[in-house]
Amino acid sequence: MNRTLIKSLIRLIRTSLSRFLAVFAIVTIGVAFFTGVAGTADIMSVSVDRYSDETNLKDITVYSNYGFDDDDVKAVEDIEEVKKAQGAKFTDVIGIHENDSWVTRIHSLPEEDSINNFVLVSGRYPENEHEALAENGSELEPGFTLGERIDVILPDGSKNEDIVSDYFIITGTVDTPLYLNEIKENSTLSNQYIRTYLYVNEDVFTTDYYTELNVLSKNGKPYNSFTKPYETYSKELKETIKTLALTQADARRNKIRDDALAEYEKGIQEYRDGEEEYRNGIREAEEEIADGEKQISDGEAEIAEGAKQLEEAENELNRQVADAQKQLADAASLLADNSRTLAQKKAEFEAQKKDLLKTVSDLQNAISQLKEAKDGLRQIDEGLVQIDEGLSELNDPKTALLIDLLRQADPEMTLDDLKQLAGSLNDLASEIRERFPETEEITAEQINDLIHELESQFDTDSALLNSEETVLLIESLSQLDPDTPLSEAEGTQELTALLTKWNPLQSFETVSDLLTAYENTQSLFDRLNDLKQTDAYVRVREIIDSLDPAKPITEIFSFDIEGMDETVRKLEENTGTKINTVGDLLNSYDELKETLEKTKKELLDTRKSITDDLNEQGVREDGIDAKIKELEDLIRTIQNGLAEGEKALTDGEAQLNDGWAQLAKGQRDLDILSADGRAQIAEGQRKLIDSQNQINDAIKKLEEGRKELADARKEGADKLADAKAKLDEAKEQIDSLEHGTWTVLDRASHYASATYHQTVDQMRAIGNVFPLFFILVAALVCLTTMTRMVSEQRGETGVLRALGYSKLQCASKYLIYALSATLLGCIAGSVIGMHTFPPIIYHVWRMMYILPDIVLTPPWKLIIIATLSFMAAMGAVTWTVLRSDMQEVPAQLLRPKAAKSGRSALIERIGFVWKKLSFTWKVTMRNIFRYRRRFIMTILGVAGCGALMVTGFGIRDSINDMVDLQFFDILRFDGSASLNDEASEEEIASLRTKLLKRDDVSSVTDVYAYSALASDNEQSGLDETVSVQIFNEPEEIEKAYDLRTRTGHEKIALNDDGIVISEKLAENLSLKKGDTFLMEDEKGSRKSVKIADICEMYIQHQAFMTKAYYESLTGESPSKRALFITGSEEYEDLKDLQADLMEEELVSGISFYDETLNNFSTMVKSLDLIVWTLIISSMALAFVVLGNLIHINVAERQREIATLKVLGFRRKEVQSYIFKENNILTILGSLAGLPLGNLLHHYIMGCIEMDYVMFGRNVSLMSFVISAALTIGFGMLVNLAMVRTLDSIKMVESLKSVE
Amino acid sequence: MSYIEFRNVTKTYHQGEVDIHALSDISFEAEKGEIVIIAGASGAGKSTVLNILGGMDTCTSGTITVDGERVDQMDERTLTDYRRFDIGFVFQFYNLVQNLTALENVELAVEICKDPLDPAETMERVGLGERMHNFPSQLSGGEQQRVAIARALAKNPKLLLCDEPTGALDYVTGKQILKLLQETSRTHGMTVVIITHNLAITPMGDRIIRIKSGRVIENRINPEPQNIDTIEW
Repeated sequence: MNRTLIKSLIRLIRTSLSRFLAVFAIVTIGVAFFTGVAGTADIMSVSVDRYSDETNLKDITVYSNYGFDDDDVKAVEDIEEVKKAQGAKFTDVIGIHENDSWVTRIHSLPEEDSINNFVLVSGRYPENEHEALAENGSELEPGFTLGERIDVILPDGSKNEDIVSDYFIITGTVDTPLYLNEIKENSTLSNQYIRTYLYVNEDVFTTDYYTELNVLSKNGKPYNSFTKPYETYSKELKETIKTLALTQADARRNKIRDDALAEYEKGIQEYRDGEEEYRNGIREAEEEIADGEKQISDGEAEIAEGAKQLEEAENELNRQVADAQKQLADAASLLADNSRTLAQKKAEFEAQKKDLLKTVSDLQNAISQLKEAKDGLRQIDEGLVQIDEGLSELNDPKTALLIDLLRQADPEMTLDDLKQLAGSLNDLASEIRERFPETEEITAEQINDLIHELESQFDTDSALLNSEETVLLIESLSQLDPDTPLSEAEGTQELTALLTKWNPLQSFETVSDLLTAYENTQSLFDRLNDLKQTDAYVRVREIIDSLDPAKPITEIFSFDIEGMDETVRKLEENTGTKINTVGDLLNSYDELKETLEKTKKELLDTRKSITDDLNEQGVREDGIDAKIKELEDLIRTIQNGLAEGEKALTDGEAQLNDGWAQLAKGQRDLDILSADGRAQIAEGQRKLIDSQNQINDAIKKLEEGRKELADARKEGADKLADAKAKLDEAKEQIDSLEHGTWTVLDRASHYASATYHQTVDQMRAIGNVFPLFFILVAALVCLTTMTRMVSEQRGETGVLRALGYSKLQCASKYLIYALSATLLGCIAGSVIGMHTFPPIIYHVWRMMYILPDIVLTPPWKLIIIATLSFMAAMGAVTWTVLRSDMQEVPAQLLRPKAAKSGRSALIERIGFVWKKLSFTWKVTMRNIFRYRRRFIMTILGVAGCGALMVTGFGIRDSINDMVDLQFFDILRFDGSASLNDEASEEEIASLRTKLLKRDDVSSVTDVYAYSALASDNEQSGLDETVSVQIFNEPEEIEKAYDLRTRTGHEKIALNDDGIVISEKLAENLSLKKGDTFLMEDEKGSRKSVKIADICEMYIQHQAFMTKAYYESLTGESPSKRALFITGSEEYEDLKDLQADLMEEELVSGISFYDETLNNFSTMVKSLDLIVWTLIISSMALAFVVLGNLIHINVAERQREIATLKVLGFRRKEVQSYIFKENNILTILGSLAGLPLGNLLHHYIMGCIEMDYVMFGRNVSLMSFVISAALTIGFGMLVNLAMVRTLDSIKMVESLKSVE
Repeated sequence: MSYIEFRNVTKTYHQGEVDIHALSDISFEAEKGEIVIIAGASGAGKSTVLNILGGMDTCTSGTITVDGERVDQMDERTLTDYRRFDIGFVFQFYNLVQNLTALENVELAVEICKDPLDPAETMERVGLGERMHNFPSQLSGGEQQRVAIARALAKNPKLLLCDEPTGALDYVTGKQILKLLQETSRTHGMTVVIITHNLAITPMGDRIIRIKSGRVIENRINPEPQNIDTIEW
């Protein structure tokens, strides 16, 4: 292709974008459906394959009749293609939690990062033997819940000895590819399905061998495990292991046999030892018996001896007691005497005591009198001393002198004057003393003499001094140098002597000294003269004269002024009169003295009287103290005597009491002693009796022993014989030990992988339906589009051809046009398809499988297939369209193509119909039959749209039906309570009555119910689990179920001749009414049962029969009781009822449908997704197909439409002229789509239906109506969208020449 | 007032930023029962006149009166009715519905009319009584054009508009068609407007209007219209 052609191609695409888009869209839808739905299978398989790879799901599992040991594991691991082999343990139990009792497989935890790992969804790993991981499960069927306690037992209620624990606490939940299904493979427990599983630590298992051996292949992971290459690969590995098994399978068996042989040898040895032991035993026993006999005779002798001793002891005791009793009595009488004496003494003492106390008080009085006298004397003496002191004070020489002096003084003279005078005197005295220091001890007489002498001397000296010559001398001397020594001065000797007399202290060296002395002496003389003139001096002279001449001068000349003040103060104090004058002083003095002397006299008188009194009493004054002491001693003696007497009395009493107490104690002791003695004697007697009994027992035992020995002898012999027999048997068993066989299973035998594989295949089957259909529609869309395109471009093609372009070049433009649209559609479709359908479908499957997260890997293979097939189809269609044009010569091409001739339709032959049709109808009819491609395309497209919608709604219907029909129509009860096997008729009846009394219970039906396995007569294929219900009377089922046929809803009645089974069971086992099949009875044995009828039932396999029929089958009555309970309509939920039922002891389990109903409602909701996907897909399909159709129709008939407009057709008339055709086709198509949808629905439901659930089989009328209406509605919608195109056609078009 | 009147009719097409004046101020008139020949070269504007006159297009300005009704003032709906009841249209390429027989094509038009002629009679009239049950593709060009004329006539319109009725036909057939039109006009007093680029056939018309570049260059009444048989070209 050259540039211009490409340019023209691009322009063509741009101008006819809607057509291009139509082709693109239909391819997109087709490819999306194909890659989406068919790709879902791949994505499902890849998701789970990756999950399996990530968790190292085993490729091969090996089982052996002997289990495996590490050598086996090693041997398998040594195989070239084996990456890892691992032994694992498992065991099957019944896990019980509350109502649930589930068949549970307990697996040992795989080592970390080894085979069959799992994903820990919640919680943690188990840490001890009572912890386990549980299945996380799905929403509908979860496993045990985190934290629950699961009790595990075997079906018969015993403990499973393969494991150490009898309960587990769930610590975590896991997902594992080992179990993808809600219902799992068969367990080892009487053919029941495993309901859930647990993982526990390996040390929980007691078994020492592995139960299974899991193998991980070396190169298996790169393969998708749901594909052929993997199957081939794993089959090879399986064969290799099988080959190994030929040799290895016996290894463990041989080991076991060797061990058993060794054990046997040991047994034989033990047998021999046993025999020996037996003989020894017998001998020993015989010896023991002889021994026993001897002991018995010894014992008897001992008893006799004992009895004798006991009697003696009793006698002795009695004697001792009597003696003691007598002693006690003596002691008692003595005590009584003493007691009396003491009382007498006490009375005497009390009398004495009274007298003595009187004496004491007298004595005390005397003492106090004496003390008083003594005190008085002392006080008097003290008073006297004080008085004497006072007197002596008054009479002391100084005071006396003072007073004497004062008596001579003027009484009127105040004391102050006196003091002044005294001062002068004192001054004089001090003067004198100064002057005459040596006259210390001179007396007053001497003084007087001295004074006289002094006065005379003074008179002389003063005369001398004042003599003229002296005056002259002095004058002369004063003329001299003062420093002239006296020795040099003349006439000074006399004077010097005189002056020295008066100035004894002065040295006379110089004239000045002399002068000074002279001066001093002069002044002294002056003063003395003055003094001589004073009254004081006169008085002093008088005093001195009056003085005791013998008195020392010092006494006289020290008039003590302070002493006088003191005296005055004292006198004032003592007399209380103020002393102001010397007279006062003297008065006071005299008064005081007098008073004192008077007092002294009185005191002396008193003293005299006291001493006289004392003397009268014979006490001398100085003997008072002695007398007091004497009296006190006397008192003390008396008191001591009294105390001693009292003490003696108390002691006597105490002694007496003591005596009594001792006596009592003696009596008590005696009693105890006597009782003890008697008790001992009794004890001795009892012991004797015991001993006798023992001996009797011993005799009996000995008898028994003899018998036992006889038995043992026999038994031992038997046992030995038995042991020998067993050993022989064991030997025989060992010799006939069967060979080891290994069962090697690949994933085709792994339940989860295999069932999932089936599901994937089912999905693939569904996925294959769509593409064919879509390729067809797409091809038709392409065909009409390209036909139109090519014919529109006819002229251009002619020109090109005329210009010399080759056929291929011309054709390639259209081929590329179609194929590029297709390719783009393929790409878009792949992307859209992959992201819409797989997640939705996967999500839905997740309700039935426990699946990992989706892995969206592009399904390349499908994309390539889809792309290639669509490209091929589109290419082929385009080529077909082009072929006719290409065969024409350019000249022909340039001419307009002869218009397709009108043809009469078949319908015209039916004249009466045809004639009644209007023209538009006629044209429509003719057009419909004229353009057959469009007819088919439209019908197919619209039918496809309708079919998808019917399918979508149908899926909803089916599940809704299942829920509605099952839970609201068929099931008439709300739940069942299974009862204990031991429940008696009365208990059941009372429980029934109790339940019926409840407000929330409307009816209770008493039935028998159990779960059984069923199969066809040949037991081919899997067993189905059936819930069998047996009614007492045929009509009782009415309360529990509405038994009816699905088609026609005909009532089915129970009868005694056969069983009614659910439809799905019949379908699974290919059974019909009147057939027989095998079903277990309560005890698990299979019976051939006859099908009386087949009933409508959607969930679980059910079988109903009468008690009579069961009895006729088995010959026994059924025993597993249950109550079917119907709640009252008014009650929203029956939670209270359920809780109360759980409390009933009779009820062993309950199962109510409300929870199941909720689960299913959730499921229906998630299915809405699918419905919506289908509706949207079908809408897209309808739009593309109808849009394209109308578009082409209009484009092709533009001229015709323009002509009609010119002819005066109104808008509506033109529209109806054109759309009538579309509408008819739409209606036809949607009608055709209904049965098609019905088929598709059946196909899809068949593919997704689960084993034990039957979905509703019918699409409801409503769904058909809605689907048809929606499809037609889409058609109308497309018409509406095209109205604008129609309006835009111009009438002028009609004038143009034919292209 | 004339039966048909064009007064100062202008038609301007806007093509991008350029205004194309298809008609500039055209005025002419025609009387009832006349055969009007509008002639002109290709692109002169004669088809535009026809479109406007036939109610397929509207004028930009000016007045158009047909039988006293103002066509230029009609809205979409009345225009449709105008086409439906008053106009019979004969196309150059016949424009028959391929899917309908000759008779049915006539009936197609008749069905929507108020006072139509009998389709079968009309077919007889145009000389196709024998072949009226044939589909268009089974008829020759001339026969198809006859069907087209019959379809137009059967509507019993006021006006028969013919767009190059002989354009796709050979000489002899073309003549026959023109003759049919002439006869129809003469015998039924039908007003026929024929658009043609062939000036040779103008003598057959009662009125000849020549248009050039959107203007009327000649508007004359042919006092003696010739019988079509006498016209050669």
